[in-house]
Amino acid sequence: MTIIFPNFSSSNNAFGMLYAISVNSIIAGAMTVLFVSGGFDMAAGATLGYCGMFVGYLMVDIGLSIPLAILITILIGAVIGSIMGYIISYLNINPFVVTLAGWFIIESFIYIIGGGTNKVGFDSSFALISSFKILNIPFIIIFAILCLIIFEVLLRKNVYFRQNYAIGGNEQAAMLAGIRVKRVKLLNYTMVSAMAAVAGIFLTSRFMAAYSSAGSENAFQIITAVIIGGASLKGGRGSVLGTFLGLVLMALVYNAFIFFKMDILWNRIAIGTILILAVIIDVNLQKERTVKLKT
Amino acid sequence: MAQGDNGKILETKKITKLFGPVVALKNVDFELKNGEILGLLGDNGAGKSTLIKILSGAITANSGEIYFEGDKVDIRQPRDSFELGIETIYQDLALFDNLDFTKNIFVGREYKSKGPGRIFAFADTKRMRNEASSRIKNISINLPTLEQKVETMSGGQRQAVAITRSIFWGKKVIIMDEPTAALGVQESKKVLELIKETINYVDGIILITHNIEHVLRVADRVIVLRHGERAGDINCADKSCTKEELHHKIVSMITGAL
Repeated sequence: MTIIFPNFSSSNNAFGMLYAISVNSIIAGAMTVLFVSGGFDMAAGATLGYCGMFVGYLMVDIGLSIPLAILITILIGAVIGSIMGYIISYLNINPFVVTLAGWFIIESFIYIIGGGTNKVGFDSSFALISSFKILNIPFIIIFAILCLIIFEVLLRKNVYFRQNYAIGGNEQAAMLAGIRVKRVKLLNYTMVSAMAAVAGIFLTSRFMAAYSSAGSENAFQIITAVIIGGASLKGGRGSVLGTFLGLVLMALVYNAFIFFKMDILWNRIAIGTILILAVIIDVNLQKERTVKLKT
Repeated sequence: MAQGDNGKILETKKITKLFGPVVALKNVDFELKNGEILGLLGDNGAGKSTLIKILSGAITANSGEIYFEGDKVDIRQPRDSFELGIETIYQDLALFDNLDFTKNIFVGREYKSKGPGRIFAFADTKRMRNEASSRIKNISINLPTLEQKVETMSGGQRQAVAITRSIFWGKKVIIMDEPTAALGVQESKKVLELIKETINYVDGIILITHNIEHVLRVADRVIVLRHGERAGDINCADKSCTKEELHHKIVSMITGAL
């Protein structure tokens, strides 16, 4: 059985499914928060791939120790996010344009530092990052679950995270209510990229290799999950729990293709169709809400 | 009750605001006296909304000074205005359609939990809901359920939410920009009654409206702006004038016939 994408495990069982969605789950919480505030980051997958390669570069080409390489990589992820966040939030440029361009640029850097090949040759203890077992569960899964829970709790209960709902609902009014809108939005983009860096590190650890193609599908998958999970493209709605269910749904669809021995290439078509359907439903719900306003 | 300079709780001196080449306000002197309901009138483009946005911190003036309770103050952002105790209801209400009544009241100023959630800065949802629901009982416009999102509310209900929010936080001054604009006769009446009652709890209310009828019903005094400048003020309690005469005076000042 070949590993088709570095992101998905080829096994059918629940464990395999958890593995498959764990990488995306690490980013999903932060991405949900960003969507709630009305933003989105299409470059998250590229950041994942780049940081996955970068941590390898630091360890193999530069010779840094594992902890130092990890720390610097996460920092780089945060910097990438804050640059995009600054351009979007303070310079008022459309997030679509910025993160699309960001995707293009960051992905190119993967080839610049990776040379187009996959990077290998890490210290064997690096694999422990993802495979270290607590109660017989690999750390990567535990970490992913922790990320989901922490972001869900923060988004629901934390005074500052909750402000994202106001920002997404009516950004101008949020500003008038004293919320530091620009700062919050910048932080959201920084968080997403930082989590993407962490996810990239875990991914490289899991396969003990940094793939040039890593991360190419993730932005699409995570954003689809966020929208399926109930977040509106307009902002002001969404929950991490919903996003998680979106990831599960997509994993189930993938497993269904395997189980029914259908051509796996059609899986991408299926996911794309699900995304379009989810967006259509979202837009219609938006229309319904505005109609009620007028009556 | 606060002591202002000569009984003025809020005052501006020579406020000028430009939007590019457009002079929105020119050397405007403005004062809100302690305990009064002040009407701010003027035709479209006179500068009323601009002036109150400067007082609320939504925009900053190009030049001029603001005095609050006799002291010179710097209002650069909405928070500065809140801290002084000034609350503003904007013409579009600045409500959040996707949030319910309680959350709209507490946006940006949520109570933090005092219990174990304190270290994570959790919101004290229970306390906020209790305070919000007790406020609702004091407002005559009713809401069937607290969980209802604002987007499903009628114009009158939305106005009630906006007014409740300003009364909840406004300890000193409340500014209302066209509070009766989108309302019918009955609802307007309720809002005006609410304004008359609210002055007992705050130090001053500024009311912007096009409806001179409404202004004459509640205001103690009226300041008129015309083309960005102060055209004059009229004392509504002036016993020597009849209501019609007052109305006529105001219209003349707005249009510049005076």
